[in-house]
Order: sequence, then structure tokens, then C-alpha cells
Amino acid sequence: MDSLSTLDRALRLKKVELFQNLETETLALIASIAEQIDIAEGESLCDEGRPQLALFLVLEGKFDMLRGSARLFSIGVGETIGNWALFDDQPSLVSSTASEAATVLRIDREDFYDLLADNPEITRTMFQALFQRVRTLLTPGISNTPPVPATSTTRGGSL
Amino acid sequence: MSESVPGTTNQRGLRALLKIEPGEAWSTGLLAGYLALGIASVIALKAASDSLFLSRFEASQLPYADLAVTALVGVVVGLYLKLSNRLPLARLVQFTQVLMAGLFALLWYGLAAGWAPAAIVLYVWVGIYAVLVPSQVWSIANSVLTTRQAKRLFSLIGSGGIAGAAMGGRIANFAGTRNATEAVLLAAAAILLLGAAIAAVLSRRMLATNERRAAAKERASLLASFRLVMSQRYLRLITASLFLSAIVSTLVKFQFKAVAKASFAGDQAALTTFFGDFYGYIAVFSFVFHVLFTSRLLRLFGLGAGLFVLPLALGLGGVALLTSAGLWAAVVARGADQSFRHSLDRASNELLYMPLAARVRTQVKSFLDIVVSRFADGIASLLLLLLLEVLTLASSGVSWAVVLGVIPWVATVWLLRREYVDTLRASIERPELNPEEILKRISASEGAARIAETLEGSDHAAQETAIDWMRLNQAAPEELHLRALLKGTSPAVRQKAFEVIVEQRLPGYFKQAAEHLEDDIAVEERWKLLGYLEAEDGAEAEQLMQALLVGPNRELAATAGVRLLHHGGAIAEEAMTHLKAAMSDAAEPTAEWRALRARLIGFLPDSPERLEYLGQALTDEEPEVLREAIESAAALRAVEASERLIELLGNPAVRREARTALEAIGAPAVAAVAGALGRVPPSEQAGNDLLRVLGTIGDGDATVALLNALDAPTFAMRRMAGRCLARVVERAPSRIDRTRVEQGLRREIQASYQERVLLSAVQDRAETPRIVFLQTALRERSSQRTKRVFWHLALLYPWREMRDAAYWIDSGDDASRSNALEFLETRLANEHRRLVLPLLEPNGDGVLPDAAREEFGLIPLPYENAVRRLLTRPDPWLQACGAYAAPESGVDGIGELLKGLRENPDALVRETAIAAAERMRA
Repeated sequence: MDSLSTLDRALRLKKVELFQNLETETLALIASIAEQIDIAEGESLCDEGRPQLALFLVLEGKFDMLRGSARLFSIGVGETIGNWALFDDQPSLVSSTASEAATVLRIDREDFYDLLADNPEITRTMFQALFQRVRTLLTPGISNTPPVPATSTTRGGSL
Repeated sequence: MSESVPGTTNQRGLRALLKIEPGEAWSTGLLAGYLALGIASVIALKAASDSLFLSRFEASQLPYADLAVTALVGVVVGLYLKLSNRLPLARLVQFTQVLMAGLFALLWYGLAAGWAPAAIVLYVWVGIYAVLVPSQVWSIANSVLTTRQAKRLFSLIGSGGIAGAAMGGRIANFAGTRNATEAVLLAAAAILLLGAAIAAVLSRRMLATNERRAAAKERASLLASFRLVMSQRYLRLITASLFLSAIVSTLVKFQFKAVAKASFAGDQAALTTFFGDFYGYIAVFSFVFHVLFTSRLLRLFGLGAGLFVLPLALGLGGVALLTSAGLWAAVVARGADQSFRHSLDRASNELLYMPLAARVRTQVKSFLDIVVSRFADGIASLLLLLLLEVLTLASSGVSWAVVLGVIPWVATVWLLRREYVDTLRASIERPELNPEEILKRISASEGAARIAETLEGSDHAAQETAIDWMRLNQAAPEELHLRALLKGTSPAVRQKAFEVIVEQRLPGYFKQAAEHLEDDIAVEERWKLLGYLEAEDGAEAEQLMQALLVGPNRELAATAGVRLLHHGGAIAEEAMTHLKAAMSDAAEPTAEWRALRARLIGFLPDSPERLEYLGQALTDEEPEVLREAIESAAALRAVEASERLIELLGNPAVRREARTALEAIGAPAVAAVAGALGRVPPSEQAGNDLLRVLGTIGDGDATVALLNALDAPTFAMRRMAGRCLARVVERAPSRIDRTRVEQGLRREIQASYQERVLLSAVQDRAETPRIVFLQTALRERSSQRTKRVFWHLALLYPWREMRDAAYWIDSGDDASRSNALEFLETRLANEHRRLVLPLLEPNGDGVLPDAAREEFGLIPLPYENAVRRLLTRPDPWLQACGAYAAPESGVDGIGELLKGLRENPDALVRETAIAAAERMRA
């Protein structure tokens, strides 16, 4: 896959649930720390039981999400792996392995934190997004709806 | 620029003439039609009921029937308000209208069957119906439209009422000539059923917020409505205005009839023709005036002017009657009354209810429209009797009464106008929470017995809380409790007990305080304890400190030494010797010891060594030491440390302390802070900290620096500058250079309109992902720009008002947004209102407001020009977004423009331009 420009990356990040409320200019900042990497078939992005240190947005290809050797589901183009890895230190409950050659955008947690430190405005908006998500999960009547909105592509969010 | 307003050119022209926005035509038409039907039925029924009554009874029995109407109005309104507790407005209207339709059908049957009392019941019932139905229609209109829509559309809806009145006359005439008066009842029943259906349709368009606000309020009743009206100044003023209006109108009507009768003495036919012509012409004039001018007058001159027209016109009419008593004067007075009462005055009065919460509105409106207006009619009749029969005044006496009635009416309207703005303001106000005040109130509510019980208990955490609450209320614990606490096992409780003793200077604790010095407590607490000891017994305290100076406790010795320095004389010299040794003691430079020394610097008297020690401590690498040194710099207000403190804003471990210290230094630090702001701050957060410092200091120089920062490179910093300036304005409004703010405001408005032009040009394009991205970026820029407009406005007007208005305008609540806009229209000066409001009005995205053309010479741009302009705009973000979407624009010569951007200083612009050029080649 050709290398994407910053704004192309921002365009794709706009579809990530966690970033949906961010302004395009802020998305461009996040896009500037996102790294486009190619993953060979069979290569793993995260291992079960180990902390995940980055969020991945799949640009091309597919990943199998495995617990032990059991395949739970797969993640494809436009979906994210490790949605909460940017905030959560807990070990990953599953591992993700490329079932075919793939390209992903990787947002490293430390880079992300640096960005937040320099841009408090992003922190504010992220807090709002997180709070909204928690409220959606906790509010009776809404909690029965799938945690992932139709527009979202974050099936890896609960990992 | 293509306009997004749907419809043909003729439809658009008609909408523009009538000031109807897209999506409003259906509701407005229904409401106008609803009012027309309602008023038509009222007029026709009145004629029918008069005729049926007089055909069965004597005219002398009419006053009894009128009395019955007045008495029954109270009963009916009471029942109506009780029903309003159970039913939402639309259902309430539907239910009552179906009920009334059934009643008219029954009465028709009763009349047809020859049941004589049916005519009386009809007469009485029509008297109530005549005030209930219009009030219901207007209540529905109030709930369907927002304040801003009401201001534009009430005139149009009201014109339905005027047309309905003419229609009702024709219906009555038609029925009368065909000897089918009773049939009017069936027509009215049909109209009511149709009205119920219209109410059902309109209920789907009622504002959701109104229903939400309707919850959990006092239950409505006649008495509750009366109490509610009496409890609010605004409602009292509305009542007074309605009351005076009804009285003056009755007096003018009498004068008109009296003068006309005198002018056409004996000629009954001429009199009838005159009345017919007069009311006919007035109806036409009123309708035309209403449709064409009411809305425009309200928007141009505001609600206040709308409310003043009728009383002033009647006042002039009264004066004319006093001076001439001719027919022309009576025509002028009654003509003005009839023309404006049902047009401009009605629309203005209905607008008065808009800022009220929906529940209050429903409760109050029916009470005022029905009970108060009927009561006022009765009082006016009594007044006439008093003037003519008891005081035996001539017609000129009534004219005097008109003029005298207008004076308090005008005064009421004057107050009402101001109260309307305040009520609008209250409707958008967001409450300020003052945590200290809340805590005080909570602590005051806690009984002394409960506090004593807690202090006697064994729960240390509860004891600490109890002491804190007592401190908050500045209450001293009982001595018994205090001594018990000082002996307790909890160091934290003991410490808090000593804090109370020191703060309140409670005598008699010298020994305990001296012992407490040995405990492991902070330098500040030790310092305060020494102060307490000096106040208790100066000589003994000095002896104690001398002993401590040479004692084994190094920290205590240093603290006592610094305290003794302030005593002067030989003892101070001795203390200085000890202190110098302690300060330069490098034998055991633990962080803890260095931190203590750093903190003690803040208590040193002025000396050459003090700054030297402070400088050293501020370069320490340990955050713990740095924190103490910064606190000392703050305590000393050491301006010499400003630059170092600014550097430390970049150190996350001590950032907050550094900021507080700069704020404590105050005005002398402004030059250094402003200078640092001019350089590129190490981070956005550090930049924000610098702005906060300036906002807290808030002197003239700080204000200038903050004004400069409104053009800071990042949005977050510009926002912070705006907030800090608002704080400065709140404390000292005169510090702001208004001319400069005005210039900044104008720049922001112009830029906002320019961005609106660009957005309008790109928003109708094919929605490819890149163009959508550009549209989103432009919308976001526009929203940011609006915020910047409000920052400037907050420097020119009370900032809380602007903050609340901005909040609601950005909210999704249509009713509050509308109230906020209406509030701004009344609050802003004309030059600001004219430019700012078109930016904020809804449905404005696709239309370039007149102000943009007239004031800034802006014209709609074709898409191609908009893209070119984006690429040359001095805004790197929009340039990048423009370049991103450019290859899909199909604009000639775009390649050259993209080529030019390859040398752009902004990395994102360069990268996007290169990628875009490659995409074009591909």
C-alpha cells in the first residue's frame, strides 16, 4: 500500500470511535504521530497476557483475534485493534495475528501522551468522548444496545 | 453562491416578504388558519348568541347574563388549570375543543327542540368561549415557535385572526339573511373539531424542551396562578399592562360611540353606515399593517417599541379628544386602538410570554388572558359608571381619564421592557456554583451538639472534619474539647487543634504549643507556632528560641534562628551566624534538609544573602527542593526569580507552583511573562500558564499582553487569552482598551464572513471524502471563529451574559438558543447586533447576510474561486485542507498553485501539496 499523507491518515482516523468528536485539525496532529506499517501474514500485533502499547487501525488486510489457539473473531479494514491500549495498562485478553498481508496505522501510547501533554485541548475532548462512552454503557435502556455504534469500527475496543 | 433555500423564485420571494424561513411555512400557515377559524367562530357565535338571546328575552336581562359570564369565567378557568395538571397542552386544547363542540351541538339540539334556557346557556357559554379559544391558539403558537421565530411570525399568525374576524362577520350575516342563525352553532362545532385536529398536527412540532421543563412544578389552579403572578415582578408588570390597556380601551370605545352618536344626531342610518365603513376600513388597514409592518417593526426597533405604540397612540387620541371633541379625534383614537391592538400590540404582548418556562406560560397565560382581562373589563365598566353617573362628568372627563390612564400604562411598559430583557437573561443563565458558600451553608446547618458529639468521639477522621467545619464557621471548640484533642493519639487531629489555637489566638496554650514545636510538622506550622508563642509571652518565647538555636534539633534550630533574625540586635547577629552555618552546611545535603533550607529562605528578612540562597535553591534538581524554593520566591515576591520561574513552567513536577509564585509576584513579573509569551513557549500548556498568570495579575500591562495573545498561534491559547481577559474585565472593566477590542471584534467578524463565503461555495459540491473533510474543516473554523467573536464581546459586555449566550447558542436546545439570540438582540449595541446576529442565526449557512455585502463588500464566490482563495489564505490548516481537496475540484491552473505551496513554511501544507500534485499526475 502506498504511503498515506497526514490528511489521508486523519481522514481514516475520523472513523475511529475514540476520535470521532475531535476536530479535523486535532486529528491531523494525531495523524502526524501515526506510523504506517506493513505486517506480513502470520505476524502478531499483540500477544495475549502482555500489555498492549499501541492502537492499530487496519488499513489493509485482516487479523485473527485469538484466545489461546481459539479464533474468536477477525478484524478487517477500517477497524481498530487495542482501542483502549492508549489508556489501559492491563494485559491484553487476546492476541491478534495477521491472517493475510496487512497495513496498519500504529499510534504509540507514549507518543500519544506527549501529544496530549502539549495539547490540553485534545485531552479535554478525549475525556468527553470517554465519558460519553461510559455513560452509554451505564445508562439503562442504552446499555442493551451494542457497545459499538454502527458508524464505529472498533471491535477491538473491549480488548 | 448558490442558495440552499428550497422552492421556486416566487416562493422564495414570498417567503422573503413574509420573513418565513424554510420549514416554517407549514406551522405558520396552520397556526394562522387555526386562529382565523377560532376568531371567525367567536364573531359568528357572538352575533348568533346575541340575536337568539334578544329574540327570547328582554335587553334589560342582558346585564344578568353578563354577570353570569363573569362569575363562570373563574370557575371554568379553575377547571381548565386543573386539567392542565393532567394533560399536556396539545391534549388539553384538543380535549376542551371536542368538549365545546359537543356542547354547541347539544345547544343546537336544545334550541331546535324549543328549550328556552338554551339561549341563556349559549349566551353565557359564548362569553367564555370568546376569551378561551384565542388564548388556546396563542398558547399553542407559543409552544411551537421559538422566541426568534415568534418575533418574525406572530404578525403573520395574528393576521389570521384579523381575517377570521372579517370571515366571522360574513358567516353571521350569511346565516342571518337565510334565517338559519342556529346553524352557526353547528358550524362552530365543526370548526372546533377541525381546531382539535390542527392542535394534534401541531403538537408534533412543539418544542421538546418545553415538555421537559413542564415537569415537577407546582400544580396549577386559579389560586396557584394568582400566587405565581404575584410572586414575579415580570408577571405583575404584564398583568398591570393588560389591565390598564383594557381600561383605556373601554374608555376610548365609549368616547368614540358617544362622539359618533352626537355627530350623527338622530340619523340612525347614517350612524350605521359610518360604523360599517369605519370598521371595514380599519380591518383592511389593520390586516395590511400587520402583514407588512408588524414583524419588521419588531425586528428593527425591538419589543419595547412594539409595546409603546398602542399606549402612545391612545394617549395622543385622548389629547386630540380633549382639544377638539370632534369626530375626527374620536376616529383617530378608536382607529389607533383597533388597528394596533389586534396587530402590533397583540404580537408584542404574546412575545412577552416567550422567555417563560412552558409550564409557567400555560398556567399564567390562561389566567391573564381570561380572568384578568374579564376583570379589567368589569372594572372599566364600573369606572365609566363612576365618571358618568356618580361624578356626572361630561365626555371631556372621560378623555381626561384616558390621558391619565395612559401615563401609568406607559410607565408600566417602560419597566416591562427592561424586565423582558432581564427575564430573557434569566432564561439563559447558568447558575454559578460557589463551593465555599455551599460548604459554609452545609456547615452552618450542622448542629453544635452534633459537632460536640463528634469531637468527643474516637473517630479521628470525623474529628478532623468537625474541626475543619468549625474553622470554616470561625467557631472555637470548647476548651474542654480542645485540651482533650491536644492530648489525643492522632497527630493529624492534634495538628488541626493547634491550627485552630493559632488562627484564633486562643490564649493559655503556651506550654502545649512549645512542646508541639518538637513534633514532625511543616516549616509553616512551626513558624506560626513561634508567632503564637511570641504573642502569648514575648520574653519567654525569645528565651525558648535561643535555647532551640543551640539545641540538637537542626530543623527547629534553623527555624528559630530565622525567627530571631527578625528580633534585631545582638540576638539577631548570633542567629545569623548559626543560620549561615546551616545554609552552607554541605556535610549532609539530603533532599529533605535542602528542602527545609529552601523553605526557610521565604522567611528571611531582606539581606544580600537571601537572593543568593534563593537562586541556588531554584536550580536544585530535586522537585521537592524546587517546590519549597518556589514557595519561598512567592512568599518574598522575588521579582528577580521571575525568569527562572517562567523556565520552571516547563517542568511538569513544579509547573503549578511556579505559576502560583509568578501570580504572587504580581505586576513586577508582567514584563518577564509578556516577554516569554512573545517567544515560542515550550508547550501549549506552558503558554496557557503564562496567560493565566497575566489574567490573575490583570494590570494594564498584563491586559495589553493578553489582548496581543488573542492572535496567538494556537486555538487553545487564544481561548485561554479570551478567558483570562474576561476575568480581568470582571474585576476592572476600565482596564480594557475598548477601541482595540472593537477593532479585533470587527476583524473576527470579517474573517467569519469570509469563511462563510468559502463554506457556502464548497458545501454544495459532490461529497467525495476529501471535499467532506474540507467542508468539516471550514465548519470547525467557523465555529472557532464564532467563539472568538464571543471572547471579544465578553470584553465589551458583561462577560457572564456573553458566556451564557454563547453556551446556549452552541447547544442543541432550540428554545434556549432562540432565547439567547433574542437576548443578544436586545443587549448588543446596534453596530454589533447588525454584524453579529446574522452569523448566529440558524439557517444561515447557505445565505450570505446583507451585512457581509454592505459592510465588508463580500460577494458569493463560485467554487473554483473559493478553492483558489483557500490555497492562498494565510491559514496553514485551511490551506492544507484546500490542497487536499484541490485535485477533485477540476479547477483550471490548480497545479500551478499547488506547485507554489511546495515552498510553504508549514510542513503539513508542503506535504499535502506534494501529495495532491502526485494524485493529479496519477
